Amino acid sequence: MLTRRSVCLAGLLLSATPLAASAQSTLTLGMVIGTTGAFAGGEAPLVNGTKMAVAELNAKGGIGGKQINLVIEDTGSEQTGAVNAYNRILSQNPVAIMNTTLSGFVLSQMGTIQDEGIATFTGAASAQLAPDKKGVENLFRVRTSDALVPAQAARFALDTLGAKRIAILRANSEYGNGWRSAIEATLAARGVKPAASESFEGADRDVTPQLLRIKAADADVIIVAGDPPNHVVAVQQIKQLGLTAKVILSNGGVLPTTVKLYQPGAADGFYGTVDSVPGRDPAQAEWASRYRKQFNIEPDYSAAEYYDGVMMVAAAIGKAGADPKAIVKALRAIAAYKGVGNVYTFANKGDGGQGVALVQIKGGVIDLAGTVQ
Amino acid sequence: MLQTLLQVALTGATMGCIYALVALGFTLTIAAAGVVNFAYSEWVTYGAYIGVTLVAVLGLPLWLGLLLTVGLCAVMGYAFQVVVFAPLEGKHFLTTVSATIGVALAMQAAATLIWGPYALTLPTFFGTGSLTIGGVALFPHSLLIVGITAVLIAGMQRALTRTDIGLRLQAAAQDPVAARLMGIPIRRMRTLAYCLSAALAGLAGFMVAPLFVVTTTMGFGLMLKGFAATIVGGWGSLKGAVLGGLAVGLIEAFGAAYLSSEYKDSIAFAMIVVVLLLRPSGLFPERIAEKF
Repeated sequence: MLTRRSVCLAGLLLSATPLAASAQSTLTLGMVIGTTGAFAGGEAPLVNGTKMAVAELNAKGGIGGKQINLVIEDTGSEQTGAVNAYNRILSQNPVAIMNTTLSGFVLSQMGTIQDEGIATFTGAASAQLAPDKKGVENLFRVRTSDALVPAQAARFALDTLGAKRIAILRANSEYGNGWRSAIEATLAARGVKPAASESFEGADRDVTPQLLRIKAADADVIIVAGDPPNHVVAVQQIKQLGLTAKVILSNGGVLPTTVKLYQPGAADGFYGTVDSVPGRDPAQAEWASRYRKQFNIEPDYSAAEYYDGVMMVAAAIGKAGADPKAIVKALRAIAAYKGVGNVYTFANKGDGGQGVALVQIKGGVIDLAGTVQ
Repeated sequence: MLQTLLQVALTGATMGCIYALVALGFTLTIAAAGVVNFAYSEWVTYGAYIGVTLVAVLGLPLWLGLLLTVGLCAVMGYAFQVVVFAPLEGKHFLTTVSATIGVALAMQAAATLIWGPYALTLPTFFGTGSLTIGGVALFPHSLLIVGITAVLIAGMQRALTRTDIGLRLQAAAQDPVAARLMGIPIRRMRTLAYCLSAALAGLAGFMVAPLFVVTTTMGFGLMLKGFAATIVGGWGSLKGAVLGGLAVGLIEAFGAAYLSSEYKDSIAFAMIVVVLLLRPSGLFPERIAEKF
């Protein structure tokens, strides 16, 4: 005899069946990113790159016949928010997670990332995230490490710009301090000491006192490391104070969305570091064109790198299946994978991207000044 | 040496004027209605975003954009009075504070939805060039900020102490019950204070937009410094807010230039702690005589 309880139970089971079927026919790709708050602008290209890759894969039938369901959780651009968002994504059983690009946030998630073992991609650049430092087996960097980029900026200053007195102006953060350490180490190897090393807080909108100290130190090259708003303020005030030193901006300073914010002519002739310039690379012209059409903005390396990350996950699942451990193992076998935004190696404790490009701002657009692998 | 000193003083004064402008509007609601409005940061942010929309998107001239921004922000202040503050009148202090924090978070999220995640900017009134006098670089937009702040402070001081409506506003702030018995429409006075406060926020947002980058969080850092200025100057004192803002700006600039940029904020906030230890009611507290 059917009781009310058994009818309810049957109803629940029936209603759950399509969900279960749906869950089996799709693969969940998680994304933990700041869609609101201070870093939303800087992380928006990562969402674009990820969405673009997911849409392309789904249009081609998904991975192994399964459509990809992209689930995005907002960090609110805060550290605790990043930890909570990562945990929320985990509850949805993702095959992989495209994580935030903020190094400090990733470091705070590290315990969970290691415990859960889900393949996690990040564009965070801190040298601390290297596999032989605080990085873990299932964390994959889709970016060139800050162990390489600032060093290249310092070498460019010494060898190409002929600098004798290099000043550092950096954000007082994991990112900015990583740049300072790497630059100081590179200069020390060449027997050079920084002419000045000044810092600012992320929210500071005036760096005149710091620039005056740099001016007093008679620096001929200034390397600026910070987030896009910091670069806009620094560039404007370097111009206003009439500093004649050559300037090298960290990656955030030469993103297309940042270059648009400089007052006309203010950053002309300034250099910057990037992992790649997909918008100016003839080999990536077709990808860049699709990106522009889809998002109505100029593509940048960070979007391309997250696009590459999704493609590498798809390839790993196609090869090894959807088991988290198998995905991590397949990804750890990747060597010299040439993507749109970088060349990646994860095999033998590889630290992901290896490309560094130097660009110069000319007439409000960036031009390639040199590439180093 | 002297040039550096003057340059630092000018920079400190400019930032101080910006903080003063923010602190002035922030203090106005404290002084007139006893409300600590933590949504003030978003009023400043919205001022900048409205300015960007009017100038960069709709193509209006800067001066017209400025006037319209100030006007629209005053309307926003009125809407706040109707939707947020009026229903909370008579409620506990913390209830109102919590409500303003909640509204601030909602406004910040709404700004991302309306204007998108990317940072924006505004052109300056005088281009990007700077004048150099005696080796000191003068940026015309910064001078404009200093000039506008000085005129506003003088104007507000005069309006509050020499005009009928200013005296009514002060009376409503100091003793609402007595003011009501004297026939002063308290709610109307408070509405006026909110509108003025929001207009000042709009002005601050518009004026700093070319110097700062317009982001959804731009107002928060400014409000924090404005809040510090309010405490240093004297809680609820308009004169104190202005002088407190200037003090914070100058201490920050000189600290960064002559001590350490690393500890710039620590130096500024340590000075604030010292000031409060020596003068708990701030440097320029509002003097109110009480009769028993």
